[in-house]
Amino acid sequence: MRKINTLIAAYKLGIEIRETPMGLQLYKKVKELKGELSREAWSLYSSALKTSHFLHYQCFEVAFNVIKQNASQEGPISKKVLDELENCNELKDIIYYNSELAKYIEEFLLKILSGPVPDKIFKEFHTLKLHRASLELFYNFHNTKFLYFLHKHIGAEKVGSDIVKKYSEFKESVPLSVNNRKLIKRLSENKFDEDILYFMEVFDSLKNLILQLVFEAHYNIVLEVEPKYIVRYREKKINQIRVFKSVINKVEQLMNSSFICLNNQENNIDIGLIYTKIIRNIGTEDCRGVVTGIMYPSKDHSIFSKGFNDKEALT
Amino acid sequence: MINPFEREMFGANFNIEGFRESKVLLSMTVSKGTVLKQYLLLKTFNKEEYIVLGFDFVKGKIIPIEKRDCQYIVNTLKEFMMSKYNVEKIHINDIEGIVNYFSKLEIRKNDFYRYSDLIVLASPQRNIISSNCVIYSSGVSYIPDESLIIHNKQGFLYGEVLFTSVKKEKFREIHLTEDLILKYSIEPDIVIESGSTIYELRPLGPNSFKFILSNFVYELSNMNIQHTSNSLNPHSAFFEVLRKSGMGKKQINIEGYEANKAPYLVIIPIENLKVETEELGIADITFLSEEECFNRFEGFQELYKKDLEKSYTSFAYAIVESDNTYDAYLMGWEKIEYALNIIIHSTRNERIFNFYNLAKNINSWEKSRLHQLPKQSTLYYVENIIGFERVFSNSESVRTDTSLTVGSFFKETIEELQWYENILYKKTKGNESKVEKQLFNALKWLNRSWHSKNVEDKVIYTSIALEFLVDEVKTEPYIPPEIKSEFKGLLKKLLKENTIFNDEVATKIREKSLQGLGDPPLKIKVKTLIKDIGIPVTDEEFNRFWNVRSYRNDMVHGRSELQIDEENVTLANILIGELIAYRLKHIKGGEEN
Repeated sequence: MRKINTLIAAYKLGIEIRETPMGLQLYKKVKELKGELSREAWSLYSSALKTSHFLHYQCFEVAFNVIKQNASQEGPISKKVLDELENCNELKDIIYYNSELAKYIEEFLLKILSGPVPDKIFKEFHTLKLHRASLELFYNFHNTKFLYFLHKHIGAEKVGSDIVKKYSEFKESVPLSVNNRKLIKRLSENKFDEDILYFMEVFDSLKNLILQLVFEAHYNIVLEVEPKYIVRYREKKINQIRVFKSVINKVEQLMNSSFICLNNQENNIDIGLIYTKIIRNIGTEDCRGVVTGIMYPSKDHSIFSKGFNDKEALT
Repeated sequence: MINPFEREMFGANFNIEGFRESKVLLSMTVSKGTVLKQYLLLKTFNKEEYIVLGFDFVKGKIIPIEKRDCQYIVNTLKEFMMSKYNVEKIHINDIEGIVNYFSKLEIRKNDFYRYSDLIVLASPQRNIISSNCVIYSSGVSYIPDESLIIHNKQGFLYGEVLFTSVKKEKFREIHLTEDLILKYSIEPDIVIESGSTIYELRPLGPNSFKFILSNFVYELSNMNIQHTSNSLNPHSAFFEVLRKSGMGKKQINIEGYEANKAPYLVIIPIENLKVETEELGIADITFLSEEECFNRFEGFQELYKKDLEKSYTSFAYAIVESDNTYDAYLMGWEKIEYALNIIIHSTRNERIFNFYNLAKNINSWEKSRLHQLPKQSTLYYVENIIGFERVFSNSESVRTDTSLTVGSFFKETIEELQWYENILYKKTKGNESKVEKQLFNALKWLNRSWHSKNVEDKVIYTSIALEFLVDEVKTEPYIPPEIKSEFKGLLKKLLKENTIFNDEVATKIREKSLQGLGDPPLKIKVKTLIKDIGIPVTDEEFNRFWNVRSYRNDMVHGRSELQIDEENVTLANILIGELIAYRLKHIKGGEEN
C-alpha cells in the first residue's frame, strides 16, 4: 500500500516546482551550466558545490563565494577561473534566482510551521498544482504532531534557552550525525536537557531534510534506485531507526546526492539519507556503489507524540 | 430562600435521620390556585431506596408532605415515569402498588410512610407558600388553574399547565410553537421563573386543556445522531450534537473554554463519482479514490464506517481553518460543493469542442452524462491537523418521530369543518373558483417548503406561496387615481415637449414609469389581508414573518453572507397556513368576520 509521509511530500513538492515554468527554466539553466564553462572552471565550481552540504538553493551562491575567498591564496589558475565565473552571465542568473528561491522556500517553511493553512506563498512560481503539493507537505509535517510535543513536553519557551543556543552554535549540519549526538551528551546535565536537545536536533534536521530534498528533487539530483539496480540491500532496525547498507550498480548521480529514493514495484517510495558513499572499480564494467545511511520512517504520523526516540542509534 | 428552579440542591448530599445519605433526583414544583409547594424525590446512595419529602424553599428546610397531597404526588410521579418525557429513565419498582397503597392510606401523624422502595414523609399538617402563578407566551399572559414543573440537575425536564373554563376570545393569541415562561410571585417581592417549550396540547373536555412542557433534552432523545470521535475540544463536542439537531450557533454558549483556531482536514465521501486517475485536483480541493484516501490519511481509515446502503467510490478533501470540527465541516463542505459544481458544469457541455466550444480540444461525450450528478454525501470526517481531535459523523440527524398518526381527533376535525371539505371536493372535481385555485397553489408551495430540508429552498418556496396567497386581494388604491392621471398627463407633455425624447425612447420611458404604478407592493397586500381577516398578528411577529421576504430578496439579488434564522421561516409558514385557511373560509360566505 502506498503511503505518504513528510519527506515524500517534500520530494513531490520539489518535482512540482520543476514543472512550473520558472522552475523548469532554472532546471535547464543549471543543467546547461557545464557547457557554458571551461573544463577547469566547471571542475572547480562543481567541487565547491559538492562541499556545500545541506544548503539547498543557496549552494550556488555559497560555492561561488568559497572560490572567491580562496582565489587569492591558491595561485594564478584559481584567479583565472574566478574571472571566468564572475563574467559568466548564466552563472549570475543562476545564483540570483536560486538565492531568491532559497529565501522564499525558507519563509514558506517557517510559515507552515507556525500553523495557519498556507496561502499562495510561492510568488512567481505559483501554480495551483504547486499549491496542492504544498498543502500535502503542510498536512504531513503537522501530522507528526511536533507542535504538541513542543508545547506539552518541552515548553515552547525552552526554544530560546541557553543550552539550545550553545547547541545550535556548535552542531553540524548533517542530521543526527555522530558528532551531534556526542555534543548533546556533553552539553546535557540531566535527562530533561537531553530531551530538549534531541527534540531540537530531530526537528531541525527534519526542516533541513525537507529543504534539501525539495532542492534535490527539483534539480533531479536525488539518487533514484529501482529494484533492478540493487545488487544487495540490508537493513537493520536500531532503536526504531532503520539503518541501511546497499550495493547498487547505478552510480551516475551518486556523488551529488544526499538522498536515496527507493522505488519498489507498487510505486512505493522509501526515502533515506545517505551518510557514506564509496564507488568501487571505477571505469570497469563491475562498477559498484556502496551506500550507507538511515531510512526515514515510512509512516511519520504522530512520531513526536509516540515518543520518537533517537538516543543510542548508530555506531 | 433557595430558588426551586436552580440546581444548587442537586449538588448537596442530604442526611436524613434513619436513612443513608441520599441525593436529590427530581424536584417538583406544584401550584394550585394561589398555593405553591415544592417536593423532592431523593435516592439513597448504593441502594434502590427513594424518599419523597416536602421542601419549604423560602425557609430552606425539609417539611412533611400534607396528607391530601400524597396521593397526587405519587400518582404524578407514576405518570411522569411512564411517559416518554422520562428521558433519564427514572424507575421505581412496583409504582402501581405504591400508588394503590397511598390512595388508601390514613395519615394521622407526622411520620415516614413506606411501601416497597418508596418512603414518604407525610403529615396531616398544612404547609402553605402563597404565590401567584402567571404564564407568558407570544407576548400575552395567562393565569393557569394548576401548574407542575419537574426539574433534575440538568434543568427543566417536564411540566404541565392546566386551564379550565376556557373562553375562545381569551386564548386566540397563543402560538404553541413559541416558548412559554412560568412566573411565580411570592410575597412580598420574590419572583421566580422558569422557561420551557410546549410539546403537547391535551384537550381534557369542552372547556379545559393541559399544556405538556419539556425542553431540548427531550428533543435530543427523538434523534438518532451517529457519531464516532476522539479527543474533541468542548466547542467541537457540543456543536457536533446540538447544531445537527437544529440549534443555531448563536444560541449555544460554552463558557470557560476559549476557542482556538487550528487547521482542519475535512474528508467527504462523494456519491456518483468515480475518479480513475490517482487524484484529481481542482483549485485547493482534491478528489481521490477510496484506496488512495486510505493511503494518505491513516486517521480516516481508522474511523471510517461504510454506509451499508450506499457505496462511495470517491472522496474529496479540503484543508480549512476553524475553531471546532463542526464549523470546519461546514467550510469544507462549501469548498467541495463549489468544486463539484464546476465538475458538473463542465460535463454538461454537449458541443463538439471541449467546454461549450471554448477549448481547442475535441470533446468526448456520452448522453448518459446528462443524468450523472455527483453529490456530496452527508457523511464526513474531520481531523485537527495540529492537535488530536478526530470525528466521523453524519450531518443528517435522523428523527425517530416523523410518522404522523391520524385518529379520531382528526376525524372530528374534518367533520367540524364541512366548508373545508367542500372546497377540497370542488378542487378535486376541477370546479374551483379563481381565488380558490390560487389558494390551493399557495398550499402546494407551502407544503414544498415544509418538506424541504434545505433552508434556502424553504425560503424560496415560502415566498412563492406568499405571492399566490395574496392574489386578488383588494386594497386601497396605492396612488389615488386622480394623481395617477395627473402624472400620466404631465409625463406625456414632458416627453412631447422635449426633443431629446424621440418616439422609441419615449415609449420605453412611458412603459417603465407607468408599469405597475397603481399596484400596491406585496407588503401592503399582505397587511391588508391580515387586517381583513382579523387574525391577531403582533408587530414583532409581522417583522419576523417579513424577514423571510428579505431573505428571498437577498438570495435572488445575489447578496451573500446570508444568515437565515430558520425559526422565522417556521413562523412564516405557520402564518401563511393560517391565512390560507381563513381566506378559504372567508370566500365561502363570510361566516366569520
